[in-house]
Amino acid sequence: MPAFTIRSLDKIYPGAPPVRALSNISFSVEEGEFIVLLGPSGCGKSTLLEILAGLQQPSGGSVLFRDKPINGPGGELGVVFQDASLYPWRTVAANVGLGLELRGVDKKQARRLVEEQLSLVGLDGFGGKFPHQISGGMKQRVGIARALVNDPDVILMDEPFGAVDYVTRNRLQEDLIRIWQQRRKTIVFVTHDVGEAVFLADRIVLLSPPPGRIAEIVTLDLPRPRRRGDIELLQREARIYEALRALEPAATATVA
Amino acid sequence: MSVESIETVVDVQTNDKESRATLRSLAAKLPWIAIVQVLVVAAILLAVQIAVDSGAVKRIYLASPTQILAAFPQLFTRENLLFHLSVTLAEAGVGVALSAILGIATGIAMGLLPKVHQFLNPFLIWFMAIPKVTIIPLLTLYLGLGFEHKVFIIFLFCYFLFVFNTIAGIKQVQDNHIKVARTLGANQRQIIWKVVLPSATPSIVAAVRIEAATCLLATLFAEIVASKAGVGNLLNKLSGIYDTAGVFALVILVTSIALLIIYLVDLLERRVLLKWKYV
Repeated sequence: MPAFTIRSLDKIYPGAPPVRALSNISFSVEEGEFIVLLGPSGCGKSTLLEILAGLQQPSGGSVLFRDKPINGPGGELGVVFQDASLYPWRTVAANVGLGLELRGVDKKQARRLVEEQLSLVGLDGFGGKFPHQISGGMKQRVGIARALVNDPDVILMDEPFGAVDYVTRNRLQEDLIRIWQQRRKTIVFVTHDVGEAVFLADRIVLLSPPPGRIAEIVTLDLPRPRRRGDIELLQREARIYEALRALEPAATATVA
Repeated sequence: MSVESIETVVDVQTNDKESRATLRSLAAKLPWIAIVQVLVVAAILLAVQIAVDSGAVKRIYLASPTQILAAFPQLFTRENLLFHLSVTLAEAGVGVALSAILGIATGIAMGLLPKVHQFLNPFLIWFMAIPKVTIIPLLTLYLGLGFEHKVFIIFLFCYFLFVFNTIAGIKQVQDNHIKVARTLGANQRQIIWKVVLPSATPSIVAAVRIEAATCLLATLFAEIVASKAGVGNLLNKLSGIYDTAGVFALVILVTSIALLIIYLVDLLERRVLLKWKYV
């Protein structure tokens, strides 16, 4: 049974004129798989992720999570947001523990679970800090720890490393792979960074510019751990860049 | 001139240069702005003292610093200041607390429920626009000269800012913060308590900060207009008998209390309400 089954999904935002964000999207996400949704900005990849999270409703087609329709967000999935979206009035530990607090997990156990997640993302001893006291990369680590705290099988990530510097991003990618392998999670990861996609993904779902539709699904059967700069990785990257260029609207293509 | 004496001259010059340099660095370390501030205040006080003592300014208009100092003990003994002060502070405290509780509650209801906002907003704006002074005679008629009258006037001064700042704070809540809570399984009530209200807190605290000073102003205003007791009442009495030194002493006292209140609110903000901002 796949984790997600998406069949002829459409998303149209009402208005005058209505905006078609996603069109006829069909694919499935297997358990334990690392899927990357890749595409230019405005292609609807974040919308697709929010539909998977239950934060938005599809306009047509169906989305199943383990063969059941998604019925609003329910805490079964962990979601990591673009800007970490930590609560500035809570300490790092209290941010990570939010999910446990909402479920009414007893305090002692909650403290232990929070420590565990912080240690997993490499933030031992930072529990007492407030978000404004830590760096952007650390904030994203807290965001990941917060998504992991309820031990969801599936984690959805919306361009989580888009706002951090290059070196930090590489470290975060490597740590994410380690966490994914240790905890045997299913991950759906949105990015517009081709290098990031090739480094992380089992499969890449390539979305076309608006209205977003699937241009191609690329399977990356490359061994792990992957090494940056590996010739095979770079070849895949080049092929995806080519595919992306082919997707560009004709006008831009002739100018380029 | 002998060689020796030339050397001494050079020596003196270098010494002079060095001592000038140390003087300069010493001068740079002195808190000049504070020194000048103190000097300005001292000069004004001295000028007032001389002007009043020499009879250049009549005692009805101005009191000298020494006269004002002398007036303080008299306020406590002859005028029963502690009683008046307790009346004023009780009115201000109850008035502002009532405004805060009802104002924040109204603000939460209006911020969360668009229909409530739509219904109440015109009424609130209308009430807020009433120039307070015009309805005081009516309020005196309805509520008398005592405690309830003051509390109501303070309420009119303070309530609306609590309402509108609470609404503004609730509007500031970030969409993504709510999404985070929803994906972690929060229900509506949890979203309000754990996301919306904490997001609104800085804006509500800003209202508390302003109202801390406003409530004292409102109390004194109400007491001066119509009252049986309180610092404003005492102020009326003293100015009625041309006790200018007493009036100045009261003004200084009330100012000090206002400063103390602002300091305490500041402390409350830094240590409790918005502690996270100051670490």
